[in-house]
Amino acid sequence: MVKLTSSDGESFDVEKDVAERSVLIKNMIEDVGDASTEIPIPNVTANVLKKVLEWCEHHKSDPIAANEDDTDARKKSTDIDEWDQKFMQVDQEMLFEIILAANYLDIKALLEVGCKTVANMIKGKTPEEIRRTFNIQNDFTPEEEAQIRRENEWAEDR
Amino acid sequence: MAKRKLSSAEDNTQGISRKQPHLRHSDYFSKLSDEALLLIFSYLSSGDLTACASVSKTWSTLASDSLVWKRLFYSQFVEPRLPRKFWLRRHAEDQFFHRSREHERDSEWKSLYKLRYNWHKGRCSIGTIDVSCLPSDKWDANLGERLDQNMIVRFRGRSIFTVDSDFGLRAWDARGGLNASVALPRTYGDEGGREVAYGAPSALYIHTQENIAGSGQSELTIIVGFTCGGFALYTTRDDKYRSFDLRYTHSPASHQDSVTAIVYEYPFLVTLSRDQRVNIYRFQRTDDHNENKFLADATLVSSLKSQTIHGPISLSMRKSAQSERVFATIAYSHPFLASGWTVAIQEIELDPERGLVNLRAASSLPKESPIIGSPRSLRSRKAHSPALFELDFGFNETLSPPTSLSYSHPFLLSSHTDNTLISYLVKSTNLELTISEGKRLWGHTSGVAQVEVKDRGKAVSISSNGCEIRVWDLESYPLGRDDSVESVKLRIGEDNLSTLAEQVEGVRLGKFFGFDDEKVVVEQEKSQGRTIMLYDFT
Repeated sequence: MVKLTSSDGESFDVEKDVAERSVLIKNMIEDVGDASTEIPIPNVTANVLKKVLEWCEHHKSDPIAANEDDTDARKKSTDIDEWDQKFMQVDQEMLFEIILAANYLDIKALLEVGCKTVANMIKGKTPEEIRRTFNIQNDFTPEEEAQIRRENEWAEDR
Repeated sequence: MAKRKLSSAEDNTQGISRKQPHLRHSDYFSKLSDEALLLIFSYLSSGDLTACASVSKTWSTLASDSLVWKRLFYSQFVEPRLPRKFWLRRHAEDQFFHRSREHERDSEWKSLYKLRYNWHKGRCSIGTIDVSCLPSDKWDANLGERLDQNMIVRFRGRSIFTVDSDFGLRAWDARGGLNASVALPRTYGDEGGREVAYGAPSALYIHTQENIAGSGQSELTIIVGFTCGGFALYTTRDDKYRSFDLRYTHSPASHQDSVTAIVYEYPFLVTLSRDQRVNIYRFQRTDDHNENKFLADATLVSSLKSQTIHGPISLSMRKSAQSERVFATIAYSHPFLASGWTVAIQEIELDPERGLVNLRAASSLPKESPIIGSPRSLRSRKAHSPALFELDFGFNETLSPPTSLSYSHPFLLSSHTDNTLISYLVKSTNLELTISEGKRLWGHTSGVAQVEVKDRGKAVSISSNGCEIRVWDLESYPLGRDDSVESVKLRIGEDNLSTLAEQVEGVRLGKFFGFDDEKVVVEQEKSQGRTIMLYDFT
């Protein structure tokens, strides 16, 4: 068992192979050489860490990315398996927190699932719809926007 | 969880004034690293990426990132054509990188993708250049006719070059502005001291040498062939080609027939004349590779003559990948078994020191030959029993000669009056020179007048009367997926709808002048004169 402490001071007891889905934690355990030490996770709050560990628990027996070709094939498609889709049905704030945590903890597969989820939210939308969905500020002047739209209206494949 | 709720409640009590600007200026994306946003973008199509580029300034930069577009380029245009084997994929990538290095220097993958995408969809905008505009003192009733007879057009990059006997050699920019012009040499003195006319220009070739002496500038060598059999060589430098420098003129010692094609790769220059003679000239090699390399005489090293070629001939030249040697290749067609036509090539290997070192020829013949008996035995067999079945040759041969041939190693294409093209693959190694069986390409709806193929297997063909230009991509062919050669009819950008309508109504497309990565150039005939049409894919 490994003890992880979130940024807001909550502790989690986790099986070693679950925690080691995170390359960062795996390396830390190896560096310390003692799995019983408490490991602080200063960038992740308890509610996010809990969610991330739930994902690690479910995927603990997944093979770690086998070879280059496999990852290539996976990258191209935005298909997400059913359990992960349900798992990602969270509000936007949590979704981005998960991506940030997966990035920080170095959990490649979770980062990919998170990014695919966001990509699927972008697909097929107009620039205005994308801004509304993610509350993004339009920082172009009207002239700049007209210009950039002209430059980008050639592609039709969605 | 409880703690968090509490803290957000505390936030609220601190008033709207602090929270509002925070909300307006940051979204969840702004917390993500650029790498994470790029990973998200890597799952999107070109249409989604271009939508993303219009979202905000940050998104505009990241959604135009070269790495994202490079991946898209590969997944869309490169990988589908490659066999699964990993090593082959790697190999092709290496080759690709090698080829596109010059592109990578100044342009991004997004614009490369766009260019390829527009070719793929046959979508382009049109520009026109009016080449028959001239000072009024040169205007006379026969002008249109004279221009028709002998204007030759070629282009490089964003410049177009025309040559004719009235105006000499001229350079135009893509918007139709005249950049430079120079008069052609008129006469030379022959051995008896008489004045002999060079005649009208009858061939034009443009050779590009990139990055002269590491300056980043490119130099064009422009060679004009004349009806007297001679030629003149010009160079032009700076970006806009604002002037021509006459470097060398060659006048034939005795009367020769009109030059119909010229190719050049220093130090060799090869001409093809109307009487089917191939002359190979070599410039004296000097240590000074730039300014004065043409001052020394070009000497005739070899002359080849053909008695038997019919139909179109195509002359091309390429440098050997391994050595200093240069290959000049003549592609031609010849009648086959009195029943059809087939294509053949002759390869001339030239060594800078030793001149002509090797001559090889290959012809495209079907693998299984039809019965070749003596003509008499065939005839007598027919006489015995009235023919129910005619000889089935079982391969693609057409009854009339091809209308044009184009060869760019390893692709050889011929165009035909029966609405088709035939594509062949040439294999040239130290040991052998072969041409594959022809593969017929369908797509045109009327006879095909001309075809040109360039490296990477991109080809453009134009119909003789159907106002139809087709763009072909043969790249998939060498890797064995020969069922997937497709063509696209040019689609014209919406800005030019009026021009298009004009074009459909009775204006005929004329000669086809060639194409490069970015555009196709075609002559257009109008009642009042003629213009050059530019189909721009950028």
